[in-house]
Amino acid sequence: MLWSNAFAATKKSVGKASKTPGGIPIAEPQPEPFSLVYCSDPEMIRLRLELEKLKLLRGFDELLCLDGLHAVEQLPHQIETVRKVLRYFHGRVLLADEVGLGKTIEAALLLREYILRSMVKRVLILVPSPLTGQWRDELSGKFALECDLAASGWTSHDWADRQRVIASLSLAKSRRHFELCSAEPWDLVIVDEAHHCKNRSTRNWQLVNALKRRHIFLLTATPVQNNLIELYNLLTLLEPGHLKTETDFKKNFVTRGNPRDPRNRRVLRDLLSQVMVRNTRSLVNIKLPRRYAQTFALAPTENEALLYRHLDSYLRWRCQPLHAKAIGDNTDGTAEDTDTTVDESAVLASIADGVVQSVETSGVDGLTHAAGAAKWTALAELWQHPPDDLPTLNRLQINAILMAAGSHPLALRPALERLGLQDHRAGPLLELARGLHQSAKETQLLELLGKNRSEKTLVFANFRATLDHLAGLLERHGIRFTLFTGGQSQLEKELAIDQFKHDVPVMLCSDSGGEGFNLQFCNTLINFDLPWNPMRIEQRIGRVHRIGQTRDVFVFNLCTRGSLEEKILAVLNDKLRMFELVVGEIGSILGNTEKGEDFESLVLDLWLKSRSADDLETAFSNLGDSLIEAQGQYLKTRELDEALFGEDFA
Amino acid sequence: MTTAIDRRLKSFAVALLESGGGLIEWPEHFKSGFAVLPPKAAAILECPENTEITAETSDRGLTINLASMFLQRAQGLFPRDTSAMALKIDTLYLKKSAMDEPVARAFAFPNARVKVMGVSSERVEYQFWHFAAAIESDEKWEDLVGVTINSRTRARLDLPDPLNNYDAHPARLDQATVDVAAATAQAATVAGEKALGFIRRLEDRMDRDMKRLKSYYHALLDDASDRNRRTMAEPDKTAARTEAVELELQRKTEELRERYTLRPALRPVALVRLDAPALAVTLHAQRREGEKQLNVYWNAMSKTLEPLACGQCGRGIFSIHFAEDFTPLCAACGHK
Ligand SMILES: [Zn+2]
Repeated sequence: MLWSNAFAATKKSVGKASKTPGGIPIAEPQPEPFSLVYCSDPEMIRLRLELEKLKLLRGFDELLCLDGLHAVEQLPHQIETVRKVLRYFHGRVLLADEVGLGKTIEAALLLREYILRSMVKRVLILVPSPLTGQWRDELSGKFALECDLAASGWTSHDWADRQRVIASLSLAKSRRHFELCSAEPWDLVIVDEAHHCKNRSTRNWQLVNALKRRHIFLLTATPVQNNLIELYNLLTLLEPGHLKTETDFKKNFVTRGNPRDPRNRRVLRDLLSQVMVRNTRSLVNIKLPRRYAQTFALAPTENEALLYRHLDSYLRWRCQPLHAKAIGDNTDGTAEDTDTTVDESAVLASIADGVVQSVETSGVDGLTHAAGAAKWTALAELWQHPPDDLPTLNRLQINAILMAAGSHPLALRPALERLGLQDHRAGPLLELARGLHQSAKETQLLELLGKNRSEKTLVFANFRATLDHLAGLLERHGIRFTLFTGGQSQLEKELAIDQFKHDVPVMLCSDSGGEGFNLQFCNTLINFDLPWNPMRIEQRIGRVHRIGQTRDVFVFNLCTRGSLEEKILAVLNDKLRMFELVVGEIGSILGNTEKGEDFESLVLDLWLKSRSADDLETAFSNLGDSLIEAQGQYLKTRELDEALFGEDFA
Repeated sequence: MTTAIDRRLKSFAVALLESGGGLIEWPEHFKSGFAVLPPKAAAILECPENTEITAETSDRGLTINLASMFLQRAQGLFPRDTSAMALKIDTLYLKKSAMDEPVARAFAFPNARVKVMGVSSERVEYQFWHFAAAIESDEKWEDLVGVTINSRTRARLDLPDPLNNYDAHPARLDQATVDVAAATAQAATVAGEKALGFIRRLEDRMDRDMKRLKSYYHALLDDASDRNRRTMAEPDKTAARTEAVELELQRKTEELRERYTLRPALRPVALVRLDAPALAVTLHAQRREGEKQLNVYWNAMSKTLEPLACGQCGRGIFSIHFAEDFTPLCAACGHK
């Protein structure tokens, strides 16, 4: 009856919206074009009706999101979580899995499910700035969901036109965009690392509160960091009033004098369980074997040392303005940069392929590379003459060149070639790099592989030139191997893994594209070079240190003595003992520090700010100390969350 | 998944693919088989033309189970428009005896004097509509709704499936009798009845959520006014704060209503049109100064008199209240 009223109302549209007796508004159905296609076989009608009936049989028990996913390893607890959120939570949930259990995958599966069931069209995903690219790549690569990255130049039209948007929290809350994105109606809002919204007086919280949305997922492993009010604030974003007012909440659930100590735990847990899912490691019974790491800091050859030293001063000379900016900009340094950056990994890749795309080539035509003309002494005197005639290298370029240097002189060559075209003073660097065919790390690599003949070993390198070079090296030494890179087709990848599993002891591997493949038959990996981003290091280790691995995992890190990589490893390994932490914890620790979530850019800052080797040493030592502090804070938080939530939320 | 659904899916898939020119070799009791599909079908189903076909989720070939994309994609093998078929039954037995008594027994005319004038054999088109009905709200409700309609009286009937009627044969019928709006209105009634439980549940939930919102924001206001009294805050500030909270409540209430708003949709999936003999009974109705002749129908398939449709709400009626212009109405609509 209700519904026919709805239709009657639309037919004689009186201009007054119709409602059910219980007061739910009924939207006017959209008139659809209608036409008939005649067929002569009754079977066609029967089949069509049968199709409709079969589609109806498919309740939420049958997840659509799982079909056609290749590169995602779905764990049972993730699938259960998806079902539960669909059935009981009506798309409003705090996903608070312990670190490393895959909240992001749960959220992405849910997103895909809602989209496939056409229950959600417009989606806004808010994430910390350094994670925007990663979210876009993962959603596109693993879940076949294309999203747009919000850019600072977006107008209200841009906001209105996009169906699925990933925006950094800092961009969305900026004065310009706060109004724009909260004016849009969203079917679903996903907030990653939602503990950034734990405080109601911050713009972060106010933004999420102001967003018009039907469904919302908040993702955090640490819903309570300092006190229980944070939890209250998060849940108020989900369902205002679910925990009554703050005064009520304090009165009912917080021990007087200790804002971290909950009372009436039973009632509180009941209330929480209506809006929150928390899987814990012990609950989902995920026990991974231990992992061990060893770092080899190898003395560079004479020429290597020379190259790195001169490269260092040359780059410092070329980026003096950046240096000044890094010094002058202590509090809010990178946020702006990261919002406007080009995709970093793309730039890295282009450099690896031998093209530094963003180097301006205009205005350098007159400069020719005069081989041998410049003397090393001239390089040392560069500092006296600011590089006025040359474009300043930007952060990305510096970053890429330094990382290439950390990989292998050969990986550095393409970038140096471009620099040489631009500036003859870079000529000697290129000359030097061209003369270097071996790095100190190679001898160590061969020795490790020699020792490990019977074990399968993964060797990682970030740069194509390095990989190619290593391929030649292994060939010359009669070590059989296979090659696995992000650029290969699915079939090539499968073949490579098959070969690795059955025939050859070594697989040379680039950073991208290995997710979802089972490599647990291997338990040894060598980082020939090192990504600056600890999360990328985690990803490498995650290829073998994952569900299904039964043996302890061994990680060998190779770096050149005195290099940035050595310093990074000193912080991550010696101080934080990162390689012994539970998967994902490093992310939580870094997230506890000022700019730690963008570790890569932090490292670059340290490099830019320092004037001498001693300077740099001190800077890294300070970084280490602040990370230790962050780790302490993280451990406290973890204890608090464990005590608070126990194991009642899965 | 139960094996019964497994089998049903399998036989549907095989029949569908074969009807489109595919060759399927999938022996009974086997989990998988092999299919050779026409290029177009393979493209729509996003699988190779020569493909394994299997009930188990796999990366290769064509997976047929409820969780796979098969059903979704199979939609593409059908036209986007409503599938239709026109059938005709040449002869049926028609009642020969007088209709006065059966009419008197079946119908009541509370506000008119009515008598039977005569009977004639006529051809009537019956339409068997199938709608995919959905209501989106905070949750989604879906069902398949079938309504059968006498194209002359627009009354909803309950008749056996014409596709199983061996006397019916394909025919050409006049397009003018197809009235999708009338059928949609009837289907909306049926769907509304079927979705009643769903709607009630949503009403309860919305009610609960509304109450929670209101008590939360009212408590916020109380808190604030307590504090103001204690701290003797300036009245301006107090008023501004009250207003802000009220605005926020209004916004959240609006958002909640939006979240629960029912968005109904009816998509006509299939229509079977059946031209069949029927017995038209002509009545003469007299009321106050006016009089009018109208037909009721004796249905040769159900062998009963059909109801008329209320001109207002579309309900099938035997107790007929005439409006001033002799539009037949149900009791409820007649008394408005
Ligand atoms: Zn009526």
